[in-house]
Amino acid sequence: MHATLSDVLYDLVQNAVEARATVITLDYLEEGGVLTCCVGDNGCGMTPEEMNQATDPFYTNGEKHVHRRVGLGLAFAKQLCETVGGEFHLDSRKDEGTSVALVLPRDHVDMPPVGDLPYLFAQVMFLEGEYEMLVHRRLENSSYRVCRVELRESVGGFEDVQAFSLVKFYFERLEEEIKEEVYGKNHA
Amino acid sequence: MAKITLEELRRLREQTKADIEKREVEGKETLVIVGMGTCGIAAGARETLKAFVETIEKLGLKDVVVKQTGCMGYCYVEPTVEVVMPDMPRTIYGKVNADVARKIVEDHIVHKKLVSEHVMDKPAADIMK
Repeated sequence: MHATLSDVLYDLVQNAVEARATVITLDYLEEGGVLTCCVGDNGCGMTPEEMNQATDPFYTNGEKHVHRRVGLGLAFAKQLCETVGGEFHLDSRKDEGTSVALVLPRDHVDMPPVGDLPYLFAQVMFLEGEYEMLVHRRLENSSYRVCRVELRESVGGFEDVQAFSLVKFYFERLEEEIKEEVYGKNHA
Repeated sequence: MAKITLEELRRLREQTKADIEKREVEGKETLVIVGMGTCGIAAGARETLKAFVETIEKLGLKDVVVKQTGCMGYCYVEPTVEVVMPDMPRTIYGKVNADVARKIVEDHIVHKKLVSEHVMDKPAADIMK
């Protein structure tokens, strides 16, 4: 099982990249007592049968590793939702794409730590491949959206460590700003 | 607090770039590839990647590229990391936590000395079949 919610979400985005998606969305929405996280993509998608098998931890389509018989990313996400009494939604169509939604009670005692959210957002921008990534973050009435193509243009490419650190810094600032808008200055 | 804009980010990047020496020769760079499959993530690969980025920045290494990849087939020794650089063998390391990541940067990348106790040679048996 992954240690943080960020790990779970990173895994889902990694799945989308591996599904050869050209557009991926990550929504992270905190409203009232509910945290909604959605990862959507226009990748290779799944048949209804594959969808049923996708959350089985002891099943994989064998494409990544021919002899391997486990696939745990979606299974971990589903398990997390079940543990905290949340909702897990998986929708997919072959050759059209997949969307995964986790609806979680923010204050549940068994909720894992969120982890480093700005780091997660930076990381999903830096996966290898040509894809557009849209991050939508909402905290109550405050929100921001960032898309990969603009970010990449702003930092002049994603090739070096300095670019990664700048992008992380950018998300840290955005996080600070929406928290200040919602909770005021000197929030914990 | 006003929201940071992409224009500000662009200016920051230009300032940073001004501080970076121009690379002497194309292809002379060092590549660090971190395995970030489900197995890697569960074993703490995101912390490993963070340690690489922070250490490289701290030491001011300008010609190192850090990349993320999926499962490399070494699930039993995650987190795994591949280092490719001039004058050193292409090396795959296993069980690379944040401390080992810092050691790899300092020993392998800076001093060109292998971190022998973490060197791996081949993938798990079921991948090799």
